[in-house]
Amino acid sequence: MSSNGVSLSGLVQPDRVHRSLYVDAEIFEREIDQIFGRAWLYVGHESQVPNPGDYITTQLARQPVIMVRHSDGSIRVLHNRCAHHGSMIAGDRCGHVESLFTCMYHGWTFRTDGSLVGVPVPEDYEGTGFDVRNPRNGLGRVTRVHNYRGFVFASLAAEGPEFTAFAAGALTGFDNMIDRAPDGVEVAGDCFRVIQHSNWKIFLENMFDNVHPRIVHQSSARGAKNAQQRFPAGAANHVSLETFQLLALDQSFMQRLEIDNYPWGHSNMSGFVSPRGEDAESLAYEAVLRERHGKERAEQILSRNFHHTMLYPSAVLQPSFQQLRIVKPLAVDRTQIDIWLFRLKGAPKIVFRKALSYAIGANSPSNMVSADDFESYYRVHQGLAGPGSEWVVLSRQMGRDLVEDGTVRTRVGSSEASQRNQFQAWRRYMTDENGDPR
Amino acid sequence: MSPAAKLPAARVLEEFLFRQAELLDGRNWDEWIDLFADAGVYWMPLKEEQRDAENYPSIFYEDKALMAARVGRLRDGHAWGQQPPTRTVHLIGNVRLDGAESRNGEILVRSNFTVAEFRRDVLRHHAGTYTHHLRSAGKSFRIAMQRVDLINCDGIHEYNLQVYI
Repeated sequence: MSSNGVSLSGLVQPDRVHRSLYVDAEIFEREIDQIFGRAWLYVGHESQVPNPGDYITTQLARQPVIMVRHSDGSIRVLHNRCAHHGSMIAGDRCGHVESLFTCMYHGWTFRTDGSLVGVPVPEDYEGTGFDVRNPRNGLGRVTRVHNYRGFVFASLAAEGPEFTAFAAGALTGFDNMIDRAPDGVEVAGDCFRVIQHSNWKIFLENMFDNVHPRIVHQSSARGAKNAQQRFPAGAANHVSLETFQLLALDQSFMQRLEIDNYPWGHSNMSGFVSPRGEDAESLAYEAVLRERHGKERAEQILSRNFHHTMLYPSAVLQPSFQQLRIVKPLAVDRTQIDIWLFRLKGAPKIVFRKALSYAIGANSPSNMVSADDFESYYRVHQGLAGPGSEWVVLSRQMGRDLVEDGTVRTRVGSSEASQRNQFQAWRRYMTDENGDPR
Repeated sequence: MSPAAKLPAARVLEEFLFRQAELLDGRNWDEWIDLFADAGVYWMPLKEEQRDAENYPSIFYEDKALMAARVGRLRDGHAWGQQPPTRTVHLIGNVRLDGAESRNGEILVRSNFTVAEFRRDVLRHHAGTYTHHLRSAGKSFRIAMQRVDLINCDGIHEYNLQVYI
């Protein structure tokens, strides 16, 4: 496949990428199959399906799926498509069935492992070659499913790396959030669902762009500063206001950030907002963690502060603020982001209040920060639609990274090492039919 | 006689709701914030019939400090998402006082709204229910809580809600 006469592989160069990666609809369709159709994608969290028969629905690449708790307690990922005529078996975002799914169209029934139980007029199929008495003729199953400490991931590819080998260093971010919870984590309510009018990759690149904040978010920072001077309350629900002000500090503040990048396009970035507090509730929480983990281990967990952990291409986690953003590309210029909040069970309320303040302020449909990010994504996408100028430059701090065992480390926040790493993974997904990035 | 037994005339309350909408549509945000009591809150739940804003996500949950921050951004001149700015027109109707009750001296007023919002060539439409918890203040009122239930609260939000509904 080619675009403007350039091979796909040639569209990603060490220091720049071609504009068609963002705006070419054919390339987008190929990404859905080659990247989203093969990578390990986030499906859901086990706390959403606590009891047998509980389910949620979502979509992986082009495939609608049901994540359901089976009667044996395991979590299954099934195609949300009747084995008969194709109707979605579950029409809502979540629900519960008493042991069987029943198709609303012709009444075919299935167990929560997908196996076929019954059809309305079984004799219709006698001698036709379709065996309605074989339970295996049921719902399609996603066989490569991994439950990582409660977080359920799936890959639609028949073969590929195991989940833990794929996720590699990105797991340290998930571990950190889970380890912060005295009694485990759970999803807190429903998610925010927002649309960006831009290509999905523009969003993931921006997660690790530490030059834009003081330009793009200057108005939010000034607004927050003036508001706090006028209403100096300093409650937990003003964590967002304190954070906004950090976005517009001198560039030297962002330069301190460290980013580690891994083979399948994943990245970890250190944090610039500490979730720790000196108030009684926060100190009591730290005491509980010390009780659970021991003093040394608890300090290790609490002092490890990630801003973002990205599991390319579908998930961006903010471990310190218990927020998980899921990328769902809808079209070349249209991207849905689902934003989930998690509760650290056993932690005092203030921990969740801070996460909530941060999430509503920065990422909800009403947010005061991403509104300007979305504007920049939109303008980037529109700018790149023009054919006259072809390349996007990604060479900040190029050649100054530390490479150890396949991990690319940068100790200068403004480096575009993550963006370059994302596109190296992109190139391998898109050009290697086996899907092996190394 | 309790304040509940002496509810202000429906017309006065209606005028107050229209006034708050007019301030929003006119981008007179400082005056709009002044309509709120000191501990007043603007709340837009994420879910239908949501009761808890402290332990579950909401779309908006703003006290006056957060309102001032939002308004500061909207007016900043470098809020890129406001270039071009958002325009709105509110229409408020079906104002209901029959359920009005006094709780801590508050008057409960429910109404329906439709809001047309325009930004950069795109016209969109919001609809839902307001629940105002009002406190008498001289001849007017202060808002203790403005609850805004969008009928599509838990739907997919196609654009950011940068301004108040």
